[in-house]
Amino acid sequence: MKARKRSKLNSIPRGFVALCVLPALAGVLLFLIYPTVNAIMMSFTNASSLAAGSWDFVGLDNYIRMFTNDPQFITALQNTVQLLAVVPVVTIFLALVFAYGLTQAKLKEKGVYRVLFFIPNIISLVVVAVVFSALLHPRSTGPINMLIGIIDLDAVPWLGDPTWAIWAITIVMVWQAVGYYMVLHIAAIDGISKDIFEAADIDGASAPAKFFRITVPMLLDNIGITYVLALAGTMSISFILGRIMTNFGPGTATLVLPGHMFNMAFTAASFGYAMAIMAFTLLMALVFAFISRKLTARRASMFGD
Amino acid sequence: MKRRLFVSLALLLALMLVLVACNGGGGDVTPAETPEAQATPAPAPTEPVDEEEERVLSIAVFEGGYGREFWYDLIDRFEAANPGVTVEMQISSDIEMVLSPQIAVGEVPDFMAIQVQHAGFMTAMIQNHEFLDLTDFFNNTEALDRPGVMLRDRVIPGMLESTAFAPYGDGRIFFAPFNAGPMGPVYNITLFEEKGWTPPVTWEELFEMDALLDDPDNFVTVGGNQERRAIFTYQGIHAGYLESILWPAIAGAGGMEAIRAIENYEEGAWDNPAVRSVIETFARLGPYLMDGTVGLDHTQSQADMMLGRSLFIPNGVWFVNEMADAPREEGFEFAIAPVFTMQAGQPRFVLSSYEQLSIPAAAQNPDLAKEFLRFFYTDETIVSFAQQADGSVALLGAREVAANYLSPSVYNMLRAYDEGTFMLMSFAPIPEGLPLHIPQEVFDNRMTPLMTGAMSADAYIQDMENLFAEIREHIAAAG
Repeated sequence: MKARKRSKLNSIPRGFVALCVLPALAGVLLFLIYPTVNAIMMSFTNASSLAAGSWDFVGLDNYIRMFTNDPQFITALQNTVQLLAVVPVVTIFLALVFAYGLTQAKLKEKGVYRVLFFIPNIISLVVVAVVFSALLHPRSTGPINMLIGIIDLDAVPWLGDPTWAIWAITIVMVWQAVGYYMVLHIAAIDGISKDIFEAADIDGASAPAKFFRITVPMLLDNIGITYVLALAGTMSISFILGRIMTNFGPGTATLVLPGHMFNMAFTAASFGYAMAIMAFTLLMALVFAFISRKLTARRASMFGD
Repeated sequence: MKRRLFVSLALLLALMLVLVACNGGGGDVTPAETPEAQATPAPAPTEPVDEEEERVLSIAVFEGGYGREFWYDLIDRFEAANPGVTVEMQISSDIEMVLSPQIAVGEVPDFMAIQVQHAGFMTAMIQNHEFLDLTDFFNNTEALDRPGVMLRDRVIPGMLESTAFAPYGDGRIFFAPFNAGPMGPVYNITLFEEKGWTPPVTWEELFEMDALLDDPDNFVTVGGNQERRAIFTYQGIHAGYLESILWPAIAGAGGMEAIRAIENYEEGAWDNPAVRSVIETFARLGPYLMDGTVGLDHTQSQADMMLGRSLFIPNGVWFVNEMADAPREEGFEFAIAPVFTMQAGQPRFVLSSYEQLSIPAAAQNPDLAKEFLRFFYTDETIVSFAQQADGSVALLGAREVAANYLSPSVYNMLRAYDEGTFMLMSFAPIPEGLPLHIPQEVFDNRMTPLMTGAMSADAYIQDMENLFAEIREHIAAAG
């Protein structure tokens, strides 16, 4: 058996495979690894945005400043952690519920709902931000405030209030992303043997029981991957929505780490400090992703996935 | 097997060739071909020109409320007057993002029409002394259309001496003024005349106006609904517009010395009775703001003000051109009042907007850039800027020269200079690499919290004092 495997491996044209991989590897090295290493090195300097600027090595000064002398960084960190804690969880949960509903329900117009849920994902984020800025108009005559006024609720200041603004952005982020993850989960649910659901039906399992005891456990590995994707998406989308919808305000109420990095790099022209924020953000995202993968991997193995 | 390998290799080679070809083209892409930027088309030469005389001037322009038509006209005129010269322009409202990558690799345009506060790299270039010294140019160059008059004497007095144009405090000029126009509380002069109101002189008079607005006769009808007006709004998420109110208010309360102290990060520049009184007044504004103000962007808030929802909004003369197509209250006419004072009898100031023209020290064609700048400072440009952008160039007598071409609204706004003292405000450079952008700290990060009660006046003042102390430390350390 082993000998056969070895002979199969030997038949692979390794030189040709290496040749095929080479352009991609060069691309990754040149456009990903090199800039990342360069940025991390720059984070230990006081580099400005000028090519001819003199860079001084400042050790850990930028990192120390972030935590001791930059209240905007702390605000941005709090907001980012809040978004990372809420948006991926809510998005993945709703995506799962919708995916489960659409695969299990005997609806004729199933295809229409799939398209409707997915549409927000193909709209440009800039358009989404501009449209929601208008919909979430803080006055009582704003479209969404008029809608909630119909059910006798008070108008919400949405983007005009430091507390509400971050939640308004959270809602838009979930709305925008949920369709994409729903489609991924539909594909995964279609992969679960129908026999399992039929057996559960025979045993008299309710829909919630089938969701929490069959669907979720069987998809744990898939959920882990989509959660990591949602983390990365949250980080980048929060920047676009924050910049367009609130300019990271009111004050700094919706400032997120990528936004602070942008401000420091392009408004304050401090590339060194901006790169320190970037390095910290990268590390934080990696830690979040690592923890989530570990958790879902362990639970998936518990369910014998 | 061999044949398959050969075909695969051939395909791979073809793919690599395509990639190399695509990449090879990338190096030659002119900045004007980027989506954000637009190049002016090269004119067809009317007569043969020696190759030696063919010169290209690259310019980069921030596209603000005045639009881009003026620049197209200026370039056409300059190219027509200088056969063989082609001007390549990058113009964008996001010029910071367009130019930053180029500046980062050392590619600078020959000429820039970018205000320092619109792009971080401009601040960094000042810190690094990367602009051409224009002192001799202004002192010794004759105006193109005024024989015997030096360019220095063509510019509005006081501008070239300010920190905005002579940033190092030694009188050497590194920036050339582009336009100048009053900024301040904009109001609808028709409404004030109809109601028999006069623009308030003091802050207390402004706050007292609020009571007048309770009268249903003073309500405004928007979309068929009767709405109560507010006395004040601002551009919400872009709080920087409040500079046109804050700095003249401080100048009125503490004189220009108070402004100079802030410009130079002096100890106690914020924590003194005059500035404190102004900050405390801003902290009182919250309840008087138009409903929803802090969540709006500049277009939304400006449109609301023009519909009559607010009596005043901070802005400048470009407002007229920027919102030319916006719906407005019947008979709406723009006017600017000098900024309100703390007490009656105090001097009233009008902050002047300005945009800066500059030539990078590393420009490839500095002499051609100077020719372009000299060409700019003419009566023809004054008229063109009035016609194309409804604005006023920063030259002496520009208002009179352009009088027949400016809209009545802009002409009204320029009259603010007759009622208040002209002033400029610009922060001294901070050491390179210090991760701070002062206008962002003063306005974007803190002004909305101050006005809405989320931050106290004491906390605001203390924050600014701490910030200035840090800047002073870095300046001292930088020597």
